[in-house]
Amino acid sequence: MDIVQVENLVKVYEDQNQVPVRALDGIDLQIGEGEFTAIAGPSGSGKTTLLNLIGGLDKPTSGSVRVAGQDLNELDGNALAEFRLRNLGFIFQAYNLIPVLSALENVEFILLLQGVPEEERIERARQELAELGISDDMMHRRPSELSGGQQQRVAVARATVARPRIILADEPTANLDSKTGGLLLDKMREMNESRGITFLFSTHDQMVMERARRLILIRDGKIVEDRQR
Amino acid sequence: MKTTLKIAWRNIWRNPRRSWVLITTVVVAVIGYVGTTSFTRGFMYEMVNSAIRYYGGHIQIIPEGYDTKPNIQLRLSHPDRMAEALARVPGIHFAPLVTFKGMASSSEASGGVVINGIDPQKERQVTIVSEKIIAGDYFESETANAAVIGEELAERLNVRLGEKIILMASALDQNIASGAFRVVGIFRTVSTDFDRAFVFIRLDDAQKLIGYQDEITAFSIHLQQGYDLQQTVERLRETLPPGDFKIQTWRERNPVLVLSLEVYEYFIFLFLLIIVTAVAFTIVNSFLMVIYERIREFGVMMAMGVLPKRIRRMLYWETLFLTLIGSTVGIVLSYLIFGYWRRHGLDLSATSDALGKLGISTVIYPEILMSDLLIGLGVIVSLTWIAVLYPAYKASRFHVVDALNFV
Repeated sequence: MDIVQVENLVKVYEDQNQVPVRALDGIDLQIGEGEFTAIAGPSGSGKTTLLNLIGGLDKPTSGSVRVAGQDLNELDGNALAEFRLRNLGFIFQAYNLIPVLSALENVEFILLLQGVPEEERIERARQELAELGISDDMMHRRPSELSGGQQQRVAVARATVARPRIILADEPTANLDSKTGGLLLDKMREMNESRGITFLFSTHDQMVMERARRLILIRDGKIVEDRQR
Repeated sequence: MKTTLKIAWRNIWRNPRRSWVLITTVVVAVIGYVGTTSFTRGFMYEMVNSAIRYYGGHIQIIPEGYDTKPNIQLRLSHPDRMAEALARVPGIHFAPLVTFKGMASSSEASGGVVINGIDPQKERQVTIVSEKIIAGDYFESETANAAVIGEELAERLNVRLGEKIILMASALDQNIASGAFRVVGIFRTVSTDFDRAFVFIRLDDAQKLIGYQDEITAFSIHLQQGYDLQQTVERLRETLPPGDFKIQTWRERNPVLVLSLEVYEYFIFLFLLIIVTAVAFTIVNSFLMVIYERIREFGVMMAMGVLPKRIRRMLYWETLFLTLIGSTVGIVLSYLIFGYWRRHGLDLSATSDALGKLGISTVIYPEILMSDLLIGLGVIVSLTWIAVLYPAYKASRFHVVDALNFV
């Protein structure tokens, strides 16, 4: 069953000189549930734009995006926020943890938004962090007191703890050294296999491409290659 | 809510220097407001106190029409019957008064004065001139035709204690009456005008001078602590025998003063608004910087599913925390600073001439009223809250992708 269905997706931006730029040019794409897929391509090819549209962070110029059966065009701002909260997880290149919350609180925060009771929240957040190798001591540290790799592990825990249908990861290893990035990718793949969480990466990191089971190459807003590995 | 509060609280300490600048702004505003308000209140209190304690008490019973056209022909007959009734009213001290305009002269000078005939024992309970004697006494000796005059008048007439002055006035029969009075006491009040204008003589001397029998001009009434002015007026209306008299409160007697008090009230509120508006602009400015620094963070939160209203709420709480900390520190410091002056008074003798002309004391005791603090706190919190509406609205209206890509 497809978790993401993209049909004839077009996104046109205006650049600084008000000249229209076609970032996505009629993309058709299906992502099956449980896939571990990477969208790769050079800078400016449209991979992040595609990820943003699938994540409901942006609106397409034309075409449609269905995630978990829901046409995102039909949702207004608040409904989209609620949809993201229940169905999607995000991992960003720059970790983007809330700096005033500890690692544990960062992970717990999304569960709080979902209305999970406090006790269960803390328990789940702890388990998730522990699974990603964050020790009890580190859990109570703020992001500024953690290394980049530790912060990204917390970011992964924040994305996975909410039990989303799909996790969208935009260049998750770009700020990490190859060893840390590799370990993190292995962890994510393990979670994909054990829990069936769908992962969709936007990347130009060779390590991610190697680990992906499906690789979609995109150039100038069009899919130029889509292969299972 | 708990997490929103937690994030808001921690956010304000992300940039402690900026937060302390904001808090200090609020502290200074609160101290400025409390200082201005309390001194203005102290000033107002002194003006009211002077009006009551030097000029006829809280309430006067006067002949009908006397307030619009003071005239010795207008007088209270049978004051004994009225005094009996007044004695039954709880919470008051009262004193009879005969008052008329006249002329005081010495061998060297003369001038217009107001001559007050009083019963010294009863007058002590109503006005405080007896406490302001700087030479001689307040009718304690049995000297016949004794007069107590102000220091200014004594200087003007160039008379000293024990010397005589001549008091002249129009009598009831329209003739000019005069009498020689010996100065037995000299007073100095806070008002140079008062000290120049008033001459006090015994009640019976005053009655004799202008040809009254036992009639008087008025009863001056002082209200004891804890008794309500309006309730006492009602009580007097019920108790006093019917007659051609009017019960007049100090407010009715001093419409200009009452108007001044109202103007001061407006001034206090206007000052508060000016101060708080300045604080509000500082807060808008700071919070625009705050959201500029945190655009990316707001983008992440919105991407995660945080609703814009939650982001707005977080910023409201941040403002509220800053305002409450600033207000609390400001109020505590205000109490310490102005509380000292409240106990010891602020001596403004350098401006004694100006204050003396206004008839108020040169030592001002600031009055810190709980109602002023609550209004001040309410206005500060409300206006700063309103001030942060715009930055908060702006923060919640970012496009998620733009916010995430903001560098």
